[in-house]
Amino acid sequence: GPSRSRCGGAAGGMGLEPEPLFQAWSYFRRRKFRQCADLCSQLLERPPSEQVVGAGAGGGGGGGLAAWSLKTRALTEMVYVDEIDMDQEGIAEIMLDENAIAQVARPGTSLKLPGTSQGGGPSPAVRPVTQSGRPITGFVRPSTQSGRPSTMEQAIRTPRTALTARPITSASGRYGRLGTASMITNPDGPFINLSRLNLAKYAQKPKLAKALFEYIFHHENDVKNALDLAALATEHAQFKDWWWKVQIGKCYYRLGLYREAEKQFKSSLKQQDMVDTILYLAKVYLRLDQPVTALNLFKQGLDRFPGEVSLICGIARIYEEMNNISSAAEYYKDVLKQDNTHVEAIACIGSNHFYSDQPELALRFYRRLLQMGVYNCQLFNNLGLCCFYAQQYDMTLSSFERALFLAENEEETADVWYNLGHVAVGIGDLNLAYQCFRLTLVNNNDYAEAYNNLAVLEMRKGHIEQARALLQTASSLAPHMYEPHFNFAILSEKVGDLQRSYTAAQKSAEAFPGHVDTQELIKQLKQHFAML
Amino acid sequence: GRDLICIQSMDGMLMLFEQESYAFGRFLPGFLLPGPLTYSSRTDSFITVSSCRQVESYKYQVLAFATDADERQETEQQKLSSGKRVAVDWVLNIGEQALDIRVVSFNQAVSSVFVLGERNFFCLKDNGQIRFMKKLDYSPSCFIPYCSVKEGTINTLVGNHSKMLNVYQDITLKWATQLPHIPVSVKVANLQDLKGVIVTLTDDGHLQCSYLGTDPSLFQAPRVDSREINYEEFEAEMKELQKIIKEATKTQDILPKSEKHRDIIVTAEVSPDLDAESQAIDSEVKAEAVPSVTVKITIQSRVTAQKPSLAVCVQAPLAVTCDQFVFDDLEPDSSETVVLSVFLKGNCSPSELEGNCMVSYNISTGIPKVAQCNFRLPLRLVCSPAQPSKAANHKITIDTNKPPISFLTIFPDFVDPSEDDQANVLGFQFLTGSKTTLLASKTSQRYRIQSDQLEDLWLITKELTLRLEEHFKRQNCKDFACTFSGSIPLQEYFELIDRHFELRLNAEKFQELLSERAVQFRAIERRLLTRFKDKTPAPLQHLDTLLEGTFREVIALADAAEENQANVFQAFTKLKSATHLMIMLISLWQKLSTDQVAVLEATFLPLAEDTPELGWEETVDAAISYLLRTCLSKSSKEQALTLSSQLCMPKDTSRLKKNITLFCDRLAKGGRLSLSTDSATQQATVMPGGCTTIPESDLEERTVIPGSTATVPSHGQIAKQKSKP
Repeated sequence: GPSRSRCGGAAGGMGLEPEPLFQAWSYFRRRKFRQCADLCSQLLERPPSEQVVGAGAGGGGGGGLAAWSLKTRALTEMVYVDEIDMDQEGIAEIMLDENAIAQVARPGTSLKLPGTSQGGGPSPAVRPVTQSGRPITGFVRPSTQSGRPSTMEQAIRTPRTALTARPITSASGRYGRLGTASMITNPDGPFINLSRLNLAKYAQKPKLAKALFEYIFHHENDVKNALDLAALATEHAQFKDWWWKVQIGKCYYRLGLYREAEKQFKSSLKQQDMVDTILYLAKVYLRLDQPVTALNLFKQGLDRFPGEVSLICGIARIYEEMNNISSAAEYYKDVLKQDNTHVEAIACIGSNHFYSDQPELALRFYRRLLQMGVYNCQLFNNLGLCCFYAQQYDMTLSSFERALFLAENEEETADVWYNLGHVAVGIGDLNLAYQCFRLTLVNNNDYAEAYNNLAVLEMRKGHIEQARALLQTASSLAPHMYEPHFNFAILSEKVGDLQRSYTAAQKSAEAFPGHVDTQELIKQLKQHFAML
Repeated sequence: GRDLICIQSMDGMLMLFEQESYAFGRFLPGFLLPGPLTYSSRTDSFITVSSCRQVESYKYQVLAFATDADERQETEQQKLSSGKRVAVDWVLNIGEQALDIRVVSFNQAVSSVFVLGERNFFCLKDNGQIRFMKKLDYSPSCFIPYCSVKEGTINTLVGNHSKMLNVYQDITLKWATQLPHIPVSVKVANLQDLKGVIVTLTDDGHLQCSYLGTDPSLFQAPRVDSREINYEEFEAEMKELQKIIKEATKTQDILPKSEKHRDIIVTAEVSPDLDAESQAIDSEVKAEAVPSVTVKITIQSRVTAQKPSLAVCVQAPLAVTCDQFVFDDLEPDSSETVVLSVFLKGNCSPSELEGNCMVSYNISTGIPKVAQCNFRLPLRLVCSPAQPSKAANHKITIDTNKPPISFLTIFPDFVDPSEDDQANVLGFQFLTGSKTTLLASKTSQRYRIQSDQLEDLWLITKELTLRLEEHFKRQNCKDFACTFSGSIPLQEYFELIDRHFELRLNAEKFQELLSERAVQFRAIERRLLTRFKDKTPAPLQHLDTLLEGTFREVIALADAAEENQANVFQAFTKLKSATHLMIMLISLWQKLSTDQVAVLEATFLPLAEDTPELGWEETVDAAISYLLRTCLSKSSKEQALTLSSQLCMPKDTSRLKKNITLFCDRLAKGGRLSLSTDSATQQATVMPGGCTTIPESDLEERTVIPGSTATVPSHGQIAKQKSKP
C-alpha cells in the first residue's frame, strides 16, 4: 500500500483566533479546567444559530452538546478524587452491620480481631497500637483510622481526638467533605439541574452519558440519581458495557449494598479485566471483613497484571492490618521494585525498620523521602527520632527544630514536643523531659502518652497523688493503651492498695495479653490475696 | 512515494488528502469531541479513542468504501454521521478518555498500540486486546514509546502535570526525572551526533532538548532561620526562663497576683428599687407579677482592650434579660455601660442572691485577660412583705450580743411605717408561694426565724445577719457577733438530701430504661432493614407496629426523664439553700474563723450543679471523709484508710448521713478545720522506698506520615536509581 503520513489534531483555522471549542478543548487537555468551563459556558450562552461548529457538523447534536459535555468533564475533573482511596465507616455502618456472618471470626480471617492473627507482628510493648488494636502504620490512610467498637454506647463514647479512631456520624460525613463541589454555591445556580434531567434520554447516548454520570457522582455527589442513570445506561448497552457495571457497583458501595456491588464488579471483571475493577472489588471484600478473599483476588489480579503497583500495595496494606508485619514488609519491598518513588511503601518500610530496632535502616528510608522532596513536620519528626536511636545526636535536635518549624497545627507540635521529651528522658535530663511533656499537653491536652510519661516522672519525684491523677487521665483518654493501667497497678501495689492494683492489672492484661510484667504482677497479687 | 494526509476536524470528520489533492472525507460514528488519532500501517487502519471512551479501529478500506456517493454527503450527512455505514474493525472499551495513541513496532518487540488514558496507561495488541496496563497515580500530559532495550519490552517516556518525566520499561518505573515545566508533548530525537535527546514542548511554546543526567538534583530543604549562637546570652536567658518556670510551678495557683492598678475595671450597680415595669420574660413562676431589678454595668478601660466581651451570670432559677455583650475595641480611658434586668425565672427560690459579671479581653500584645465583679441582688426580687404567721414547722434562733433592733430600722423596705406591730414581727411571702416569719424578742437579744420549709429559712437568716452587721458597722460598733446555740436541724436536712437522692435514683432508672428501649429499637430497625433489602421482601409480621410502639415508649420515657430532670434541679436548689443554712449555723455555733468557713463551704458546696455522672452526695461524702481522716481524725488508725479514687453514685445516703453527724460531733468536740500540709496529722502516703523505680519505660513514638497514596509532591525530585543506557 502507499505510505501515509499521519496528521492528528484538529483543524481550527479561523484566522489567528482559535476556534472557541478547540480552545476550550485545549484548555481541558492542559488541565486548565476553570478557563475551560468558563469558555464552554460562553459557548453555551450563544444562540444556537451562532454555534458555528454545531451548525455544519451534524455530529448528533453538534457543538452545543460537545461544549456541554466538555464542561461537565471539566467540572468533574476539578473535584475528582479517586473513589478507591475513599473509605470511612460511620457509626451506623459499623453498628448496623448486617453483613457479618459470625459474631466471632475464626483466627486470621477477620480484620475485626487483629490480635487473632499470629503473623509475627511486634508486640504493643515495641510498637504502639491504635485504638482498634492494630500497630501504628507508617502512613496515614483513611482506613487506618477506623475502629470497630463492640457496642453502640462504646462507639458514641469513643474519645473524639484526631489521633485515635474516631467514629463519624454517618457515611455521608466524609463524602460530604471530599465532594465539596456540590456545596459551593454557584451564583447562577447549578450547571445541571438534576431534578429536571431526563435520565432515560441521556442513558441512550453513550457519548454523553459517561461524562454525565461522573459529573453526577463526583461533582454533585448525588448517588441516587447517578445510580438511576447507570442502571438505565447499562440496560441500553444490553449489559455488555463493563464500565457501567463498575459504576453501578460504585454506587451500591456508597449506598452500603456490598453484596450487590460485589455482583456488579464480578460481572464486570468477567467481561473485561481492569485494575480498577479489581481494586473496587477488593474494597468490597474488605468492607465485608473478608481479607483473605481480598488477598486471593489481588493475587489473581497480579497474575493478569504482573507487577501492578496498586495491587501489590493493596496486599501489603491488608497484611499490615492483619498484623502480619513481615509479609506486609515483603510486599512493600515488591512495590519499590516496581516503583521506587512510592511514598507509602518507603514510609511503611521505614517505620517497620524503626520499630524492629533498626533505626539506621529506617533513617535511610526517611532520607530517601527527604530527597524526593517530602518536606513536612512528620518526616523531620521521624528523622529526629531515627537519628537519636542511631546515636547521631548532632542531627537529632536540628531535625526536631525543623519539625517544630514546619508543624502546621497544634497536634503536630504536640507530637514533636512529645518526642523531644522522649529524647530528654533518653539523655537523662528529666527536668527537660518534664517541660517537654508539659508543652505537649499545652498543645494537645488529649495526649494520653504524655500524661502517662509525666506520671512516671512524678512517680520518680515521689508525688504519688499527682502521678495517680495523671495516670487516671491517661487511661480514660486512651483505654486501649496498656501502659497507664500497668503503671497504675504498680503504683497502687507500692502504696499497698492491692485491690485497685489488681483491677488495673486486669485492664492492662486486657489491653495487652502478652505482657509478661503484667502477668507476673497479677500472679503476685493473687498470692497475696491467697495469703490473706 | 506519495504522502497521504489525514486531518481530523472538530466536528468529527476525517479528511484524507493524497499529496495536495482531497481524496475523501468521512464522519466518524458517535462523534462528540475529537480524541487522539493514529494510523497503523500493519493493519492499514486508523485508531482513535471516541467520546464513548473506547478505542476504535477503522480499516482504511472500510472508510474509503463506506459510501459510494461522496457527492451525496451534503444531503445525507445525518445518515453518514450516525455511523451506519462506517463499520468499525475492533473496539476496546477502556472506560476513560485518552490523551494520546501511538503504534509502535520495534525490532525486538511485537507491534503494539499504546494508549495514554487520563488515569491508566494501556498497551494493546493489534487486535485490540490488552497486553498490559498500568494505573497511574498522577495526571499524565504526554507520552512516547521510544525504543526497546530489553527483548520483549518497550520503553516509554510519560510526562505529567507534576513536571515529572517518568521512564517505564513496560510498567516498571526505571527512572524519574524533574522537568522545569509541564510538557505537552515529548519526543526523542537524534540530532547529528547527539543521539537520544529528549525534546519537550511546553504549552507556552518553549522547546527544550535535554538528556537524563546522572547528577541527582536532590531536594534541598530550605534553611531554618537560626541566630548566631551566643552562649553567654543563651545561658543567661535560659537561667531567667528556668527561674520563671520555677516560680510558676512553686505557687500553687496559676493566677497572677492581683495587680494594684487593673487595666479594666468592671463595676455593677444594682438599682435600689425594683423596676416600675417588670422586665421579666418567660418566667415559670406562677405569681401574679414577677418583679425585676435593673443592674447597670460599667466597664472602664485604661488601656486598649481588644475584642472585649461581657458575660453576666446569675445562678438559676434567677435569670437575666441578656447575658452576653460584645463591644468594639476599647480605647484607653474610655468606658462602656450596659443595662440589664434580673428576675426570677424558675419556679423555686434561689439559693443565693448574688450575681457575677466578667469581662474578657485581649491587651494589645494579644494576651487574654479577665476582669470581674460581683453584685448582690435585693431580697425584694424574690419575696414581698406579708402577714406573719404564728405557727411553723421549722424554727431557728439567732443570739446576738446587742439589744434587738427594730425592724423599722433594718428592714425599711418590708415594713409599713404606719403599722406599729411590725417593729418586732415581720412576714415574708416568697414568689413561689411559701412564707417565712421573722420575730425579734422584746426582752432578750434574740431573733427567731420560722417557716414551714427548712430551705426557706436561709435567705431570710442570711439577710438578717447581713443587715444587722451593716447596721452595727454604721454605728461603729465593732464587737457585734451572732451566735447559734441550739442543735443543728440535721434530721430535717437529711430529709432534703434523701429527696434529692431519690430523684437522682429515678434519673438513673430512666436512663437505664431508655437505653434498653433504644437497644430494642435498633434491633427492630435492623430486622426491618434486612427485610426491606431483600429482593422479595418477606411479610413484616407486625414489625412496623412493634417499631412504632417502641418509638412511642422511647419518647414517653424521654419526656418523663426530662420532667424528672427539672425536679432534680429544684430539689438541688432547695438542698443548696439548706446547705448554706447548715454552713451558717455550724459556723455561728462553733464560732468558726473565715478560713474554716471557707473549708466548710468547699466541703459542702463543691458543685455549682450536679450531673448524672458526678453528683452532690458522693462529692460531699468524699470531702467529709477526707476531713474526718485528716484534721478531724481521732487516732492515727483512722488515717491509714486509703483514699477512694473514683467517685461513683452511692447505693443509699446512710453513709453520708453518718459522716455528717460524725463531722458535727467532732466539731463540737473541738475539731479544727484546716487543710495545711504541715499539719502533724497529715498522713504520709509515701511508703518508704516505694517509688524509687520507674516500673516501665513506656515511652513510645508516633511516626506517622499523613498523605494519600496519590501524593507525590509537586516540587519533588527523584534521585536516580540506575543508569540508563
